[in-house]
Amino acid sequence: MRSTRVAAVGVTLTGALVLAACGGASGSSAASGDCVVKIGSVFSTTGAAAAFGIDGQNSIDMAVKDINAKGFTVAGKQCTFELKSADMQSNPDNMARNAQDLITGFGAHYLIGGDMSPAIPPMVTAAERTGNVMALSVTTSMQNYVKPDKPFFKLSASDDKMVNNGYIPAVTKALPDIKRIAMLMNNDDTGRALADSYVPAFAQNGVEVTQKIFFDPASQDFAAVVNQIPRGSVDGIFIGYNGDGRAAAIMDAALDAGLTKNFITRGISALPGQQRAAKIDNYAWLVLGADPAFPGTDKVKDFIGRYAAEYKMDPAKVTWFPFTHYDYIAMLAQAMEKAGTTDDVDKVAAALRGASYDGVVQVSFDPSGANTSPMGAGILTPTGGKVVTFGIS
Amino acid sequence: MDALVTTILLGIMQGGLYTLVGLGVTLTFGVTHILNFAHGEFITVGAYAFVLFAGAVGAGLALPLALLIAGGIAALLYVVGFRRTIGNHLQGLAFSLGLLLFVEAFMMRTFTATPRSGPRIEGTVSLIGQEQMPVGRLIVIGVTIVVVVVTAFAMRRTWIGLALRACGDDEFAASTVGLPAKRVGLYAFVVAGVLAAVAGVCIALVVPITPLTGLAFLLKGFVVAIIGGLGSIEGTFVAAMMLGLLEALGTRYVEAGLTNAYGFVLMIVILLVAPAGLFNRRQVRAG
Repeated sequence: MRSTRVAAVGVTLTGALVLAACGGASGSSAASGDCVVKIGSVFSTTGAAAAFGIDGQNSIDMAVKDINAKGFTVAGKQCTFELKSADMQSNPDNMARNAQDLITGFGAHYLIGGDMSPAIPPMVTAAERTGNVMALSVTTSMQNYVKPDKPFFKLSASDDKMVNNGYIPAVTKALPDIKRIAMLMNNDDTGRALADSYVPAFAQNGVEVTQKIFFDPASQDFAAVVNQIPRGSVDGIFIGYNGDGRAAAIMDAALDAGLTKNFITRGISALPGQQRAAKIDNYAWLVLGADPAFPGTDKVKDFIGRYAAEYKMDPAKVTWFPFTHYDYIAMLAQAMEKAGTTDDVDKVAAALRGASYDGVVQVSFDPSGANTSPMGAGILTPTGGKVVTFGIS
Repeated sequence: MDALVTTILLGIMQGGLYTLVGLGVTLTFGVTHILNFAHGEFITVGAYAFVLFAGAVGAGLALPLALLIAGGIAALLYVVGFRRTIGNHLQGLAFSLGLLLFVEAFMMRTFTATPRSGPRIEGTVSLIGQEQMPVGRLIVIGVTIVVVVVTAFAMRRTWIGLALRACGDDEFAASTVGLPAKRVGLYAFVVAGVLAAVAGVCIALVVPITPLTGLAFLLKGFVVAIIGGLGSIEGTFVAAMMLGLLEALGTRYVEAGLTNAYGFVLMIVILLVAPAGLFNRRQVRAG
């Protein structure tokens, strides 16, 4: 009986610890002023997506603090932001509840985040059902909801403009010796759709995709997958939309098999290439906003230092997420100033369309609301690394 | 034909890793009847301990340290928590699930999802044609074979092995000859923790690791333990090899997008034919 009670207490304590570790609870940044604009952020601060989600949440938090320190004026009123954050726990199924809590419970008219593509439909649905709610996300699937008459914005350019018209031409120009590639993509709808658009984009730039392989996204070891590629048949491997872990595992498997030493990723980090710099010839990655490993300007360098100090982290571990989130909060404040309102979301959305903001990086939307912020291609070669910036048109 | 040899070797290596994981699952279940969902975290802890210590003190010293840490943590968790849940499946399940989530979140906070690689063993061995196999993967095959053979031998010839088997076969009869199940459960957890750490070290030698690596292998560990027959070492080994080879051959020759589905298809088919698993000597009962 005694052991049963002890076990029950143990289970309860474990549950409490798990809840404490996994989040679900949310914090908020207090605000004061004549008008307070409530922003809700939903990122995964626990689980697999936390590597980026924590940076997403922190960068919004820092932006809110920085803007509140100065305030902004809307229709003659001094305004500040109030932020409440929710943890999606790397599970898109949590988004509907998170979004609803922030909209109806907290009263947010502005939602930002959703660090996984499947989380975007429930986020947008919650915003549409309530009405007068804006949603902003960097996630690929957000592009499906960007319309000239809807208050939904993607915090990076569309994949078509960013990759097909920008990244692939920049990479193929920087790595002219790569003429034949094998393409490895996730075996899901997004992976297959992206592959269908990337193949002609590579062909237009003189690179033949000799083989497309769709792999199980849950795979850990890719030796059997790359074993499908005949030796000597390719100059490089293109790794589709993926996190660093998967890209690193594919690269290791390909290097082990002696397939190639050239890798082009749709991923957004220099890390897999940097970690294997001694073993590879070339590595390319997509840069959104700026790259923490190759900061191109003093503004970016200063931001990384300040951000790392604020959140007590190693500057080398800062991801690209802050560069696709931080400036948009200031841009939002700018749009509210221009619109003369904080709570008429349609008017604020109209002010965002066609606007640009020069912050840590440059961010901009065209008159239809499509993101036109400049992007870049990171190129790591035996002689060093660089970021080639390209515009979005 | 050239690629077939490589694929089979890759399958054997994968099967070896699944064996190490599945043995831990089946051992702890056999003795304590706890289906330990936190077992995968022993793999993660072992892998991270090895990678971190290898960078600081070298791989030679990192290996025993990793085994010691994983075995120690397994023992501690058993004494503090699992021991008290024996006999109550729901509590054991809740405790292990809680631990899984807590450790995973803790590791993610501490180490982030940034992939880390262990010390790489350079060099390849030429196979047929242009095919080559990295030395590191061949070493992993060798290590898993040795560990499985030693474990099987120890289970039959050592006092601890006999105690584990006795408690697994008949807990009451074992207790009448001075083998209390709760104490033997400690041995099972330590052995399982060390086996998981060996798996973690081997994984870190061939693929990058993240805090989620252990969980991915745990699912396969469950599959092979169930296919083999919960509690059966021979069954676990046979099932792990079947799964490793099926995954490698299926990925190479059938469809790479279904790698993780092959195991579950195999499990369903085998459980339809042999509901208690391939080598289960007795019906697994609750309680």
